Amino acid sequence: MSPRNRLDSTAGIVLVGTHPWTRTAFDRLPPRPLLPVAHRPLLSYSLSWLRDAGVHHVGVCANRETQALEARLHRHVPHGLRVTYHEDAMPRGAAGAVRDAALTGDASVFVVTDGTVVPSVDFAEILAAHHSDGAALTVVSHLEPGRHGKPAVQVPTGIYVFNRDVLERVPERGFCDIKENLIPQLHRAKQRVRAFTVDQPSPRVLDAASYRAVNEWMVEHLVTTRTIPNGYILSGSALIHRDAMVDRDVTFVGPVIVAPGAEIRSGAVIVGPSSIGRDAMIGSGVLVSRSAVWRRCVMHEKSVADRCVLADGTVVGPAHRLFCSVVPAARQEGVAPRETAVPQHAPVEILRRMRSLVFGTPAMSRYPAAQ
Amino acid sequence: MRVWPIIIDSQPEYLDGTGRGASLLLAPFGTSVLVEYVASAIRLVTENGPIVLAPAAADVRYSEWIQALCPTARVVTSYEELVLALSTHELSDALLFVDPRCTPVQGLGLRQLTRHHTLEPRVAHHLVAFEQAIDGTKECVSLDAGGQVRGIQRYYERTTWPFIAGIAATLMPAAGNVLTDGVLPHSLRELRQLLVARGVPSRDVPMEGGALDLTDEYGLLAANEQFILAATSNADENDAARSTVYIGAGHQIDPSARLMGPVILHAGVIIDAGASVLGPAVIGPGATIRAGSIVAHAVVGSDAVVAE
Repeated sequence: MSPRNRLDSTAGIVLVGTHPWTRTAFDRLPPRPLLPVAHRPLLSYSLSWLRDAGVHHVGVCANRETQALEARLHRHVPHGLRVTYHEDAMPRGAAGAVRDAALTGDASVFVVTDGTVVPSVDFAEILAAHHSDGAALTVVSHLEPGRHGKPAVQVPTGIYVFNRDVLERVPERGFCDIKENLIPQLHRAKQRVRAFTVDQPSPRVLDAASYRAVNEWMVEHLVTTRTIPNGYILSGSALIHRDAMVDRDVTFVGPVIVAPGAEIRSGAVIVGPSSIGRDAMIGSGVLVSRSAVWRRCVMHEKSVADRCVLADGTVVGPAHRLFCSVVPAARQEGVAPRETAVPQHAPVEILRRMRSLVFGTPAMSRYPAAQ
Repeated sequence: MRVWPIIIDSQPEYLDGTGRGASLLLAPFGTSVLVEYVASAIRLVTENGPIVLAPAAADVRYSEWIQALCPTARVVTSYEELVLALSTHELSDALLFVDPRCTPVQGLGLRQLTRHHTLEPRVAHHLVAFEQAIDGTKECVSLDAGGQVRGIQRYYERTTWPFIAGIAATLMPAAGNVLTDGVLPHSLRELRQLLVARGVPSRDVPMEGGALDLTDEYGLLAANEQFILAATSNADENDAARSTVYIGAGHQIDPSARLMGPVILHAGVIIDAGASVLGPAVIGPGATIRAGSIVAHAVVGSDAVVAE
């Protein structure tokens, strides 16, 4: 079968059913697939990956809030991609959800990805390997090198390729997981289950640290590859939307993305990788570093946020300092009375003061968690 | 029983400077220098001064720098010198090896080791740190002999976690005689293998909370960040200047320099006009930040110069 024909008979399935297992602030944020990564919902990266590979139809399997998901995703669905949504009313497990979504179409091969992953593997290579191996199911994994004398291990990336006939083994009702049930069952039945090993992991959001890391990775990726989203301009290492307002003496250090309507006032310093969300207000003398500041946040003057996730509408009071924090939506941290006078601002213009720079490291913020 | 502490120093690849900048033990570590941090943990379990195994190609002033920070330390550079330094020990004594390349997040729990050693003096005890899990789990693909996927093994941090990050310290009976065949262990992993080869019984004492791997710069930065935040956590939120911690004396900070966020400045730091230091950051003893430079979330080593 030619690659073109293979693609015509291939559909995508994205699994987005996540459960909050803990009571942490991170689990009080929106479901992981909807978390903004460089101003786009995390799930939209899977859709783009499938579309860019030539897939025309994707089923999105959710276990709750399907309508909200559809509404939020609507404007992020790539042109030419048909997306259908499947709500898992009862706990079906990953394999059950794949079966239910797959059998509504007529594709013969399904590329399944977890909605918390930003796929960074070569789709065509995976598909070719799946067919050439004659596999019933392919597990995409990456090799995690061993350190200090320990052996390397293969870690699954959350991406699989299924043949349609594999799904016959998934029961019509009840719970069936890919890892715990389906793969061992296929192995016992002597079906070919192959591991396709890639060198690089695909970034994945599992907790607050990995969310920050994925956001940072994507912001840095956009800047270093000079991938400029519509409406943005690249100035130094900052991607700034044309409708953002940035004072002349604002300093950007490292990769930063600033959304439309955001306002960054005099003397503020933004250390990347960081993202400043739509309509956020960063006051004068503020230091934001290695953080994801979401929509409509307000950081009053001289406040500090380092390695933070500030969800929509968070207000940080003057001179208040936040480190390694996740602040759920519309929370006020150390807030003093709000300002009433709003000074005038210059149009977007960036002054990047980087004559000599010792830039800290990924280390303090770019966790292995992203992998 | 007397405990004789031995600290293994090293020069990880990222410490590619010269002088004090070529030694992990002399790296800034929050409000102190790493050798001071390790020595203070050792003092909780023994009054004996530490023997420091110098890294290969240590500077001629290495011993002077170590002793300035830890006056009871004795520096050795070879196997012969180490044996000589330990010549007064008795068979009932214990040797405590500490390798700061693996530094527990929750502090060096050396008392745990001495407690175990008191109960089992014939056994070597290794303080081992588990790798920290992301979201509490880790998955690995399990293959059969034919290369087919048999399943995906899921490990849980609290119950089925076999992943060890490293060994932070080893307390072993001097009677183990591991230093008798002319071999100088360069790491605690090597020492543990040596003990196994000699048939000396060993027991691992696991630590909770994970460890910082100082063999890469990420670990050193993360460790410093932890100390910076602890050192500045009591600063008045309305007085940003107090989020800068000055250690020792001799600082020269130009009034036009900008310090934002929590910053620790060690003795003799010079920050020139218009330079910016964006915390969390540690500027090591004698370091200079030249005019117009920006230092963000960094550890600047002793005597380093960040040039324009």
